[in-house]
Amino acid sequence: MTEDGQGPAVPKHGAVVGVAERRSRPVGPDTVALRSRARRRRADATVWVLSSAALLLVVVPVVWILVSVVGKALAHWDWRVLTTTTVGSQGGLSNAIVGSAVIVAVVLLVGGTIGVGAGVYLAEYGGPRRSSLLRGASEVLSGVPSIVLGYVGYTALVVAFHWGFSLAAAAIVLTILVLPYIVKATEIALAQVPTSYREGATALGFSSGRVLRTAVLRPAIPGIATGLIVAVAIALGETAPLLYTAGWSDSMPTAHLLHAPIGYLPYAVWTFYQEPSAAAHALSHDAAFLLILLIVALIVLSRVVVARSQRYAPGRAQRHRRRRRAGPAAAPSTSGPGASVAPRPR
Amino acid sequence: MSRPTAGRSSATRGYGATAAAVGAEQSARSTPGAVAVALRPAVRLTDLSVGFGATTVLQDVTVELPPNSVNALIGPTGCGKSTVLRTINRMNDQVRGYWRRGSVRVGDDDVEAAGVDPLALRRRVGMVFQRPNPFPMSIKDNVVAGVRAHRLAPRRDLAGIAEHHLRQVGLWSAVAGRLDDSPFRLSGGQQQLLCLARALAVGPEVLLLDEPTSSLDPISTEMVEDLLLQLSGDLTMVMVTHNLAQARRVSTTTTFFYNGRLVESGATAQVFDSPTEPETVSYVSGRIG
Repeated sequence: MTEDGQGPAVPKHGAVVGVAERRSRPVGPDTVALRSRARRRRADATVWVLSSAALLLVVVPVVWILVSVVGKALAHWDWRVLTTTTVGSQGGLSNAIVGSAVIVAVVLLVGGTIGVGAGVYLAEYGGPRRSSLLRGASEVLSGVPSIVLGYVGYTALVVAFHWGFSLAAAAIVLTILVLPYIVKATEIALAQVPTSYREGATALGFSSGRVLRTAVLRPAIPGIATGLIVAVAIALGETAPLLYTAGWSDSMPTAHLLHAPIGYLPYAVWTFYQEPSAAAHALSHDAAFLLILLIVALIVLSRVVVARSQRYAPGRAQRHRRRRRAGPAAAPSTSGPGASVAPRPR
Repeated sequence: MSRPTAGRSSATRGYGATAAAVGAEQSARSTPGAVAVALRPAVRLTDLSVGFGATTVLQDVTVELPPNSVNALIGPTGCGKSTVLRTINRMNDQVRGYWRRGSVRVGDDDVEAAGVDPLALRRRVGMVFQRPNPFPMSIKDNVVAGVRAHRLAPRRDLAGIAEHHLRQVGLWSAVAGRLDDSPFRLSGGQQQLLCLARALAVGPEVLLLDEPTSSLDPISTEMVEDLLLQLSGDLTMVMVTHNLAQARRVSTTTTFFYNGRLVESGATAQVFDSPTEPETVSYVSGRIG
């Protein structure tokens, strides 16, 4: 936009010399250098402004949501929300908290196993034709609106199979919903493992299973874990498919997979906010607050997992080394093996 | 010291026929003044042609490499040197379109004979790559990764084996206090020595080295070269190198490849000082390559 403000004299490709020629005024190399430096500075400032604006666009809504949700919930916070069950549209949320936890745990177990397995197959074993089939199916699945999945789950599982509103129906629909994320994350994480790890392991006579475990899966753990945590966050927040499959229950989840409706947090946010009573609104705010809290906890957990599993990752160590070398007390870079024991960067 | 030796001999026992051969070699080793070339070759390529699909990479290569020596493979890029290495330990098996004619023998065994397990073969024939490639696990776990995979020693011996091989490559003093650290905090040269220790820990008969020092600084290179010379007392090494001076310094025999054909092979001094083929003359004098 600053370029346009310069008027017609500045051509598109920024050939400053060309401008000088057109004006038929002798321009020395110094003038050219000065002008291009000014241009660079303007471009620099533009990029800075635009990227700062983008940052604000991301940060402001997040802070806004956090502040309003947390503020509304804390205004009337009562610890009994965690320990008592819902009664009509008041009481506590313990049934929904446990219900959400159970649903997410089943999704993580089933979806995690199938999704990571499918990702490994895509990255390591699948031939081109079968892989593209599986990949295509996974991509179509990720494009299906969640309400459609919920409706299919309702007509097939709840009605046709006579399962009723149940944990099984809810977990299956949510698993299908999050599978594409896990598959994609696993496949990408495996594809990014350097070939040299595989070659080194193969050359040592490792079996293909052991190559996968020691040299490929281990460095891919951060990527896979991130995919799983995204999946959990999605499962935790989905409402539409659960309305069709889980129903809602005021009481604590039972050990039954079928014929037992189950409570979950997003339902409380969505339903109780539409009720006219202040108690119901309070429950809605509490549920939203708990959901946000859980998501933040998941993000922190994923950071911890990533940090732990990257203890031996090359990138981290290289950063350390670069920083050390850049320091004023940098050792001569040709220090050979065994020449000096560098202090442990901790 | 004693434990790793025990691990090595028990590992060798798994290969009935080879165990006797190795025993014979070892008795030959102990004879002072024995001329290496007089021994039965450790690696033998006979009329070997290798290619991928329609491309022929190696053509009719026949060469015998003596045991307990460093054997340099030299030649310009793309002449087939690395393919030779990867054919010896069957790393080409997984490459699409790979084919082979002729035979490769390690000791007495054809590496592609029916019944040869490529995993067991790769324990006998180790490999070190151009760029250091430690695994993303602790330094100690790196050294014993192969020992674990092949179940060569009980768990309680692993620490001793790690120390033995780290000492063997001259890395012990530098890493003794941080065996549980990431290997990527070591310098490039130290990482390559670690990879050498990892390859040596499974007790290979033959070690393949694919330009092992080309990504290292001169001091690290010297350390690796010293180690190779030291190891050549009881290990057969096949080393691809672009560094002619290095081939001259370290190797016992030198084999020169050009455009997928073996041009000349013999004692290093002879190949460098009185080559018989015109291509060799040009290459070692720096006129081609």
